[in-house]
Amino acid sequence: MTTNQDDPIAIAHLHKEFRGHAAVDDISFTVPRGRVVGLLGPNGAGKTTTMRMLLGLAGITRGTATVLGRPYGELTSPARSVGAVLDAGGLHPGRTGRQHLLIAAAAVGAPRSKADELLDEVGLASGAHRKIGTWSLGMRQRLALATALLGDPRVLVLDEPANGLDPVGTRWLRDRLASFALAGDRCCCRPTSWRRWPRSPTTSS
Amino acid sequence: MFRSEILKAASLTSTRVVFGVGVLGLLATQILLVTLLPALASGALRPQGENLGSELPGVDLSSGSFQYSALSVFGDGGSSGSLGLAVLGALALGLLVATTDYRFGGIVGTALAEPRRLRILLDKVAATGVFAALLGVVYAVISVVVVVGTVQLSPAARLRVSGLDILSTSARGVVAVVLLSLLGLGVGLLVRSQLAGFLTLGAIVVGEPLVQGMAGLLAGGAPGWTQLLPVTLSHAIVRSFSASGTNPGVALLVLGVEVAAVLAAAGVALRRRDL
Repeated sequence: MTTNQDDPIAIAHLHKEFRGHAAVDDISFTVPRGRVVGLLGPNGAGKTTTMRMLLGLAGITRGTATVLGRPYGELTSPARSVGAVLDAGGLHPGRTGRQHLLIAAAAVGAPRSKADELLDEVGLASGAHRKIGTWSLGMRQRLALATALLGDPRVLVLDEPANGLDPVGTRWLRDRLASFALAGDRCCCRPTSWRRWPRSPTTSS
Repeated sequence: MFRSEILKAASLTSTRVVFGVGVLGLLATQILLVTLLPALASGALRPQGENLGSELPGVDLSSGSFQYSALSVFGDGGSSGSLGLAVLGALALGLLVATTDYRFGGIVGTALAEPRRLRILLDKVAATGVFAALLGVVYAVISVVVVVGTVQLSPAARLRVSGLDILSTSARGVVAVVLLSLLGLGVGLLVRSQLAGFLTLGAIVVGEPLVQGMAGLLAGGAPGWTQLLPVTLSHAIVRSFSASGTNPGVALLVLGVEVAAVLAAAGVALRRRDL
């Protein structure tokens, strides 16, 4: 696939080896503005590893991965450029949902009011003071998405965001991501092991 | 980012448990060593007023050296290498700050917000330092209150340590607690797993007196290097400047270098590893 370095996400000839084993081998793609792009593939295909390299969490063996024209680590305000959900959001079961969002807000420099605003937006305001350990997987996914939106980013990267969501929740997420991508010059990339959302303004790579 | 690390540690149950265990452990140890043992030695707690002083050498509440050593924030009465709950609390505090982030994936969110790994390390060091200093101050207050209170309630004793001595010992104690917590943080960042971290710290604190004993047996005396192990150094920091053994200033310097080396290794590991 050809790549366009002007696109918000541009991955070119990306390669990752773990002790001689190629986990990702020569992957290239771009995510243009205004689109929700699904990265499809079976388990173990390297989708999550690709996202981790894109976000600077894993080293790159060969190739390039840029967000908004730069490697993630060189972005001046990364959380305000990119929102990401990986590993179900790194939620500690002993914290409340509000505590989690306040910690994340402090990390990205967002005001405390933004956390309350997002809790309301993702439909978790009533359970915000309960410990996350008592939450369903769907509620955790909503909280993880709220965390990704804290910095009001231009790009969203979500790993298996629909896991644990019921049909209503899946529809809500699909519509939310579509409206996110269509608002301004934003885009969204979501690796998933199965194409679950048949009707949305998406492109699959 | 620093505020985020503070909020993280403050919202953890394990932080409160560490504070509780350390504080209650120190309180119990201080009451045993500073209040009960001197009372037994003087015969105040025996029905017939029997004096056990000969069986408890060195336990004399009226002596300045005993009072000085009893001010130790580790509740060890000044004995080097003693392993108490206060020491474990200090080490566990830093370890849990590091390993909880790995266990529940919080480190990923941190690295997304702040891709510069060295900055992450510095923020964790600062946040751990704040909580450890707070723990050290609470330890110091407990030690001083038990010593001063016991002396005041004992008719045969009077306070022989000056306010400056109390302040100096307490301040050095707080620094020692901070350094031990930072050592725990460094170990936690290196091993990442909580179980592996506790096993490593256990090996360090339990292994230290074993190593000292073995080295003493083999060398026919205590070699100098055995006094440079971290827990022994932390006790030396709070000891009197006139006491035998490693000078508190030297102990502080050496432990500081050891902790800096562990944190530097943790920084390299944090920078090189995938998250």
